[in-house]
Amino acid sequence: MASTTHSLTYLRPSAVRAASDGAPALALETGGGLTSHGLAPFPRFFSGFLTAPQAAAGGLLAVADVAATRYWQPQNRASLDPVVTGNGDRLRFESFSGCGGVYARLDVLAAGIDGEMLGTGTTNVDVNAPLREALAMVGGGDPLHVAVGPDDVTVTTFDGPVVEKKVPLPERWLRGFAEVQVIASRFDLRAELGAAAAARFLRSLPRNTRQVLWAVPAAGTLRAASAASPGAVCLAGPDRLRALTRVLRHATALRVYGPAVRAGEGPQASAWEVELPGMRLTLTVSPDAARGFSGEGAVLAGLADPHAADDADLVAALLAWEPRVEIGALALESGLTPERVRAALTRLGTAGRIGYDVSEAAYFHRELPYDTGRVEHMNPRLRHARRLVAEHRVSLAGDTARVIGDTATYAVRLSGDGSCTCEWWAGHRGGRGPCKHVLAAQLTARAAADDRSTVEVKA
Amino acid sequence: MTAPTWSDVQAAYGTGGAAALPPLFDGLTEAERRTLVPDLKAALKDYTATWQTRRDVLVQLGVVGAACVGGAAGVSQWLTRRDLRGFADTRAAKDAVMTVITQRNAAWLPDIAQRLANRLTLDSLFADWELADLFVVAAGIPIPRTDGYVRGWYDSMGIKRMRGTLVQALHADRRAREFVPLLCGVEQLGRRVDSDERGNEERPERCWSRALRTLADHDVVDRGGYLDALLTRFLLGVSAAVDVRGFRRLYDGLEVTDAEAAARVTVYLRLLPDSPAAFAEIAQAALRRLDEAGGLTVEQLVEAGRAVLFRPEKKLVRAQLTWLDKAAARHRDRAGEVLATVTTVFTHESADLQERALNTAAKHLPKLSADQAAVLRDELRASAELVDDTLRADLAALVGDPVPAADKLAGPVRPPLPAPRELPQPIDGLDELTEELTVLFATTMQNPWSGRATANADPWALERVVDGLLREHARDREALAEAVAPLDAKHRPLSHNDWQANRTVGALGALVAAASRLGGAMGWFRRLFAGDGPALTPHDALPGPHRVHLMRLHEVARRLRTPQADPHLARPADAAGYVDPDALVTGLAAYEAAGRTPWPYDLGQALLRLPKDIDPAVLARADELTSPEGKRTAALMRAGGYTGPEVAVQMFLTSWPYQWRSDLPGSSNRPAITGTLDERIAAARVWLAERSAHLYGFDLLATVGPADASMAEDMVASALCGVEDPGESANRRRDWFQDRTEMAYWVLVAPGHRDLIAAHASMALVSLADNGDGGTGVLPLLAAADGRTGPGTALAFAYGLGARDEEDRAHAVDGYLTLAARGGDDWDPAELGVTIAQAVVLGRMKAGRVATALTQAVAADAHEATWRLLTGLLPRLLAEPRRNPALADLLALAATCATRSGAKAELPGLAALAAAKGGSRAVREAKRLQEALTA
Repeated sequence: MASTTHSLTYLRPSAVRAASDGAPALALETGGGLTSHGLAPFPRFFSGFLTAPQAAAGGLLAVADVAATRYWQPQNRASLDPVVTGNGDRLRFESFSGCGGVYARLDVLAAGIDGEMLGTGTTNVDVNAPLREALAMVGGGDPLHVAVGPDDVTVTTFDGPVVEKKVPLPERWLRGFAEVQVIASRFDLRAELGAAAAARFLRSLPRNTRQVLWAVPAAGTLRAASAASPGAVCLAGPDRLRALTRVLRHATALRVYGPAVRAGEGPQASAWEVELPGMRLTLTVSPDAARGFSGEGAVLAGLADPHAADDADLVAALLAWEPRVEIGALALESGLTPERVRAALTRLGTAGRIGYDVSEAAYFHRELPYDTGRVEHMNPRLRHARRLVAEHRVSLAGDTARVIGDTATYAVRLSGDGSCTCEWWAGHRGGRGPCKHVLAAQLTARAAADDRSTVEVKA
Repeated sequence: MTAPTWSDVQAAYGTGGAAALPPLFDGLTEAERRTLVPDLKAALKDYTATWQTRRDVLVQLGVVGAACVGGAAGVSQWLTRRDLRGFADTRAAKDAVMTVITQRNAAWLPDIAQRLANRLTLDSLFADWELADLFVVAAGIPIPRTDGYVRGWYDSMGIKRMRGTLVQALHADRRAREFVPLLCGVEQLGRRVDSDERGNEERPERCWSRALRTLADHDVVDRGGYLDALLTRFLLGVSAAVDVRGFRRLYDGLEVTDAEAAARVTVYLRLLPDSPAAFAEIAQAALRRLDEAGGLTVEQLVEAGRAVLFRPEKKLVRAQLTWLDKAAARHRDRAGEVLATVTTVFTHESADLQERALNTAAKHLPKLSADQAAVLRDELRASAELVDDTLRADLAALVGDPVPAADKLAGPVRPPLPAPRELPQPIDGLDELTEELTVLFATTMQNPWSGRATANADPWALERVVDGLLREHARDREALAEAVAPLDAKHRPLSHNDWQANRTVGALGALVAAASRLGGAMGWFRRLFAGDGPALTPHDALPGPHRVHLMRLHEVARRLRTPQADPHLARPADAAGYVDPDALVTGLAAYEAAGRTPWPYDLGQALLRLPKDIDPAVLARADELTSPEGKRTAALMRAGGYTGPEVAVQMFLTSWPYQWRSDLPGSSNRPAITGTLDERIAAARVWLAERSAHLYGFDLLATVGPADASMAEDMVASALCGVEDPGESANRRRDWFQDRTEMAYWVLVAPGHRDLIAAHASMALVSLADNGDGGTGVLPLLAAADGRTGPGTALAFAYGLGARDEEDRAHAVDGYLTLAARGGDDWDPAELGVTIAQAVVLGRMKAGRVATALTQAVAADAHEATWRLLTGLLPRLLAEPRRNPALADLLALAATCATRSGAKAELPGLAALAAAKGGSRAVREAKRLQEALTA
């Protein structure tokens, strides 16, 4: 598996320090990242107070927990730091589990903060054991001062050793982190539970199981069913929601999002959002505890489309860390149709340059502070499909195709979403997008159609 | 001076051991040392190429590497190579490494020490830790704080204590003071402490908890720092229960004083909401002791109350309520604020706890001052929404509000009907057939670790493939053979194995092998394709429906080997799985015209799939058939299909737990129990009470009567009959029938005989009360199937609803909802209720689990069916001398269902309980139900 090492440099460790008046102040240290003023080594986004410190501390711990966990192999801890975005009127803390199957985001909304937003941009935020302890010790109702990023004085005068972290950054982790946004953009609200019902439901979930449950809305709460039915939301590996229990006692509501499902359908991803005072904590879980988001194939169609790349560049130039990206406005500015803007946003999503907020059903601008430049080109299935096409291994015959794979020849049927006789397709039946053979056949068919139209134009 | 050769190294080691190696390198220049590196690498390659472990070679490699490989980083890397793990397991080897390094460049020591320590993990060998520690001590660097290093120190103390006590060992170690707080930083040390203490209960002088306490008391270890480190560990969290236990032992050993606890009130308070239950319990106890000594403010008390009362653990909540009860008296002037925290319990799902919380408030409310009473009342009123329905009236009365009208009176009493299943289109062409076969292989394949299939079996998909294979076989045998040949090549190596003979995936392999016309000379395929007898490996324990399902597939495989294209008689013509009688008659006529005999399993399966009502015109055509098979079919069509064997639920003595089955009492020692099932159950309980009940148990099992005349004639149909002593084979079946998820296929074996199939399935579901074997996936399919329900269905659903695991119950609830939605006279929920009651009374099922499942069903509007079920269940539970712990929940559920569905009835035993003394919840729920039924 391809993996690179990512170096993070923080000025000093994040910590709770005593402020000038003696009250505790949370200083979250930032690593380098892109901001509205370009690349910055220690960007500063916010200084002010959190209005619900206990809930916020719980939410931050939940985000940090997800970053440090591999849900499929819990004995191996992950060592990744969350990502923070100064997003106009709000702060967003994001993390992605080491197994690539759980995405967590704490949105601290305007109502949850009382202070000054000093900048916009995205960067990593340092989390360490003493900080966790300090966060666990946050209590009482007094507002807590928090600073995201060091102030200028500290940057220029600090002479202690900087904190350096080297973390492995597997390619599939990075791809999953980016693609989960695109997957979430297909979700709709399926259920809303009050605080008590939410606590009861989340506690009633079976522990230590990796099985797939379907949560069916029933009488103000959710019922765990064994099979999909319209309106149900899939919950694969219910244990993976345990990070939510940290903030459960501060919760005012639980909202559940998922794609539309038919009766008897296979497992799906879903998003679980806990409403907190002035904040929202959302966990998005993959369709199977054993697999991450990277292989879901939701983005293949967009990536395979050659026109989307130019549109994406155009749209990217217009983004400026908006907390809500308005598609209509972008369409006007860019001169593209809303459909093409949407396709361009999908493509930006796969490159880690945009996030999706299910609660507001809107994209928001943020640029993952990792080298994501080539991520979209590295999609293995697309890469393999292109190789199959380049090596002329695809022969089209009307609605079907024969693809000569590495070990066998596969029969591909192009009708509908396409299907194949390979084992991978048999295992997922289109639930994770097309296989490389179907994709190769589609690419060939599209190329053939383009050729035909060019010939017609010439004629 | 020149560098030694590898043979010099071997010779020196041969005469003087590891100690003889350093002199070989003393005084060599770095360049001279490098000349040996190629030899060294070659020797390593030689060594790793053999699979033997040879300590002498390992030591030579390690020491010479330390002497020759370039740079401090290079040396560290060499010493921590995986293939050299633990090479320095003798003092001499370690000293040799140390000597060569100090001779070479002593300035490297700190760097190497740090690197060796950093590479240590929790799984590192102790010898590797000793080597690293030697360097750390020699280099004099601060103690590296890595988990692996700290763990190694812990283990080293464990070894040293063998020569005395642990206290002495720790006392002798001058670094103990620094190490002890670090121990708490390593989460996985908890389990080591735990197992260590359990293993040394006889030798307390070896126990860490005691030793650390002693040292802390004598200030060899900083007691405060150690306690703080422990509490920090608690705060940071410990994920595994074994680790939690270990740290708890350390804490308990310390016997924290009140003064120490008082200095750490904030930490204890923060431990309450999120930490593992064991730590929260510690914090709760410490804070409670402080409060009793007057050491907590009201604000802190309130914070503690809110935090603990929100926790899911009943034990903690109960303890907190008791504490609050006492504290309310102590903090008289602000008791209202203190007691207001009990409203947090209303988020709990247990109505018992909620009632307890409400009672605590009610007890003190009259004694409160006016303003404090107002505080409490306001808080109660604000959470009235949350409280359990059954307590809403009590709460209203307490705060002096009018009793709210029950808002759940109106609404549907049946869940919505699930969308009907549709028969999928037949397979279109070879490409789709290959796809579907690949899918079937993928889904029926067993997970090699769990032994379970990776996906739920889909009987309709299998039927499509069988039909597609026969169709393509009739159309173009050559093309079919060519298309499936790759599948055969891939799956034959596995599926021909004898242990696959009794599984669906094996049968699939046989189908593909037959269609490809290649396989057949290996494993059980030889039996299948050469002879015409059964190809199954002998197992009388294989359930009848599974045997039919497999034998029929085997027969299809045999057909595919012949060039003959005979009609496929058993093809399902609708989603329920029935055949088209018209097509069946046409097929049989074709057989007669060709002068051939139908394939017996094809015909037998077709007859099991006959629908009840058949068009008279088809019957008339059937009467014209002349072959014996044709006549038999015609007669059966006229009779409306098989009437089926008798299914009943009986009680059988089985061993318990299941793995012990050889020690069942012989027939002479068995209780002579006769009478109706209820009488037998009563007698069995008496018999059990006099014996070791943990060895034996009485299970409710389904019996299937003998085949009637029409079934006995057919070997396929008769295979489903005659399970008359399931008690004997129950254990064996449970052991041998592992493919529970494949019970789904049974639904299409006999589509109109639901109760029969359910009876067979119930056999595999018996054990669900004790373990999570799965298999309940068949229940939703049975619920959606055709045919009568009866005792078999009741038993299968009883075991499903009472299953231990939520995931198994979820299937049962889904099936139950389908049954409830279909309603009608066909299904009697009361029968299910009676069966559940019998299983509960026999001690084979917990009523609480059933209550949880039924609560979910009621939330999905299954009020009518659940009420009828409870009329069967409740009277038997009410008649029990000991009140069932789940009785109150079931009564509450009954009240909800009866109110919604407007039921009026008399439940035997209810009036007596409603009139009973005492204010327990069961009594009050009984009263409420009585009112609902008579209002």
